[in-house]
Amino acid sequence: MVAADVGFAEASWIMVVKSLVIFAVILGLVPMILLLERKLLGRFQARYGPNRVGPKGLLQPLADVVKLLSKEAYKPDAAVPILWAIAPALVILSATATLAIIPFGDVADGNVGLYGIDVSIGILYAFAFGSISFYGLLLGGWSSGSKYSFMGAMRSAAQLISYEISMGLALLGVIMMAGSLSLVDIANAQADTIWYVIPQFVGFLIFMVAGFAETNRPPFDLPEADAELVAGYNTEYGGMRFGSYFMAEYMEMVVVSGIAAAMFLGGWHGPGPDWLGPIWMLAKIMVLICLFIWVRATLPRLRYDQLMSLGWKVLLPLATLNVLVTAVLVVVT
Amino acid sequence: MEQVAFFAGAIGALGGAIAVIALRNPFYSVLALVVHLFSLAGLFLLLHAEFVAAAQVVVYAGAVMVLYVFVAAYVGGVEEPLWDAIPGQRILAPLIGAALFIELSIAVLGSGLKSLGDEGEVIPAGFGSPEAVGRLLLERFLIPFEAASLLLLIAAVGAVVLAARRPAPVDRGGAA
Amino acid sequence: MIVFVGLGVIVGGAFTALNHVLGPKRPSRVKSEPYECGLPTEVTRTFRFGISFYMVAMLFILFDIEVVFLYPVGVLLNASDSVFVLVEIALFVFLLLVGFVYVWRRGALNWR
Repeated sequence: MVAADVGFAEASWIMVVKSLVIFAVILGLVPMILLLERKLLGRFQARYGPNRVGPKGLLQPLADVVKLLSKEAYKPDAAVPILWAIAPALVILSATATLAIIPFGDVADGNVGLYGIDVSIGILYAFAFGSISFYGLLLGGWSSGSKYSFMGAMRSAAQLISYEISMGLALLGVIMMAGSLSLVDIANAQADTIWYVIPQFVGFLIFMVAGFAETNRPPFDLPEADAELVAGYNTEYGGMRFGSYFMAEYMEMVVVSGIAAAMFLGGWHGPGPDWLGPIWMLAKIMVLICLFIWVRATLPRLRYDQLMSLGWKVLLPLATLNVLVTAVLVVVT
Repeated sequence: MEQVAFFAGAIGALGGAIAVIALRNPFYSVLALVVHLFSLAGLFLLLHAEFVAAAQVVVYAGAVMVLYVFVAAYVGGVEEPLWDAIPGQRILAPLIGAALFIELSIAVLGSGLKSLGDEGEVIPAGFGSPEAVGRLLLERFLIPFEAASLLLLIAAVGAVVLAARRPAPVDRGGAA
Repeated sequence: MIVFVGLGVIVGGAFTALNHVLGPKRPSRVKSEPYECGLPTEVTRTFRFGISFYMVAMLFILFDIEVVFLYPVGVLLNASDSVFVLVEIALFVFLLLVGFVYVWRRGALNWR
């Protein structure tokens, strides 16, 4: 893909190396988030959380992965063979590809951009690759040949599309203010002024609520509502294929948090010297992920009709109004 | 590199398109159409039309195909045809197809091929970016841009009217 | 982008295939039946689900196109001739809002 006009060309080996580094960092982050979530959830409920494997339970994610890896690879008779195997890989592909647009810093040393890719279409890149994950969920549910899987897949499909519009409109306010779609430009536009979370507070709220829904996180985990649907689209999956869905969900959490941090919370800008930038970015991502966990521990799951009316009757009009008001304010000031 | 990408995209687009009509199961046909649309988006990227590529994926693969998938899942994996054959369709179909092919060939040979060169067009900076597309929408294509919103309004009304006519689930999911 | 897509394919493929290599193989008939809780299992790929799914999908197409149209125009709002751009955006959104109000009033947004 053609990069935005940055005025320099990176050697291809630099691109490969930095992509690998970003991917490795986030891949390392996922087990930590997993443990953090279980620990925090434990504390929220006056429990200890996992504390048996390793000191203070620190090795718990490792044990989980080993367990998932040692499971039997099985396929239900009713499943459509190839599609059933491709579906979890599609979800991982979509989550990995969207990682590329999270910026961890501006161009450093004149020739290396601290981001996977900075394209002119910016945030639309995330939406485009996000639509692949939709097919991952739907194919997984459909090809399983189980009614629970299929109902879960249909639910998640309708939920994903209901909240995607509000998400897009919520970001439009920021895009109008910054005058760019590129996440790097948007983060830089907040360097000297206040973070966009203050003038765009409504947009930030809408984006985060839609983000909870897009990642199928509680209180919007209707597709895998275990009380009614067993486990939704991944009922028939086991082993690492189940793990793929699980991991993709956490990677998407990182992506949503990363986009929110770059667009609303000033990205890598913060007090201190420039080299602290990537650390600031990671810190902001972690704070937003703690918000995800906090919300999970606090709110009960919505009913499906409530979920739909929240998306269409509350968030969508609010987001539209936000766009109009922001447009007027941008022109007036 | 670019040629490899082009042929991968072209094979995906053609293969997907052929699979759409060749496959019997409507659900697989829809999936083939999705493959076709993603390949087309890849071809747009090769033409430096980044915004068009993203819009193609977001609107077609992400939105229109969702409706198709819903309808196909509703109809299910039926292998038998959904309606009876029209008498004489085996003779008529190739005739109409051939006529369409000749017509398209005349159109392509008559206009497009002459302007093709070996070097390719010079691409100005920022070509295909959202800013460039936005400027075009506001200057050259202002009327179509606003007409699009009117069209969307009409479509919204039409969708509701279609859905409201029958309280029970409609069987083809209405117009797309 | 190519690197990330490649990584995704490799990791996704590895996750899908690893259990074949590492896991035990003890197939049995009951294990490979679709999950069911105390009832005979049935395999179905067609469901007569509610009309709301179609309604949502159709409305999603409309508003998705709105968002995609507004992005390139919204980017220009700060650049030049802002009032003109604002009027165009407002007109565009207003026409769609009329449709949205109509859809709402007809009750198509109620989940059935």
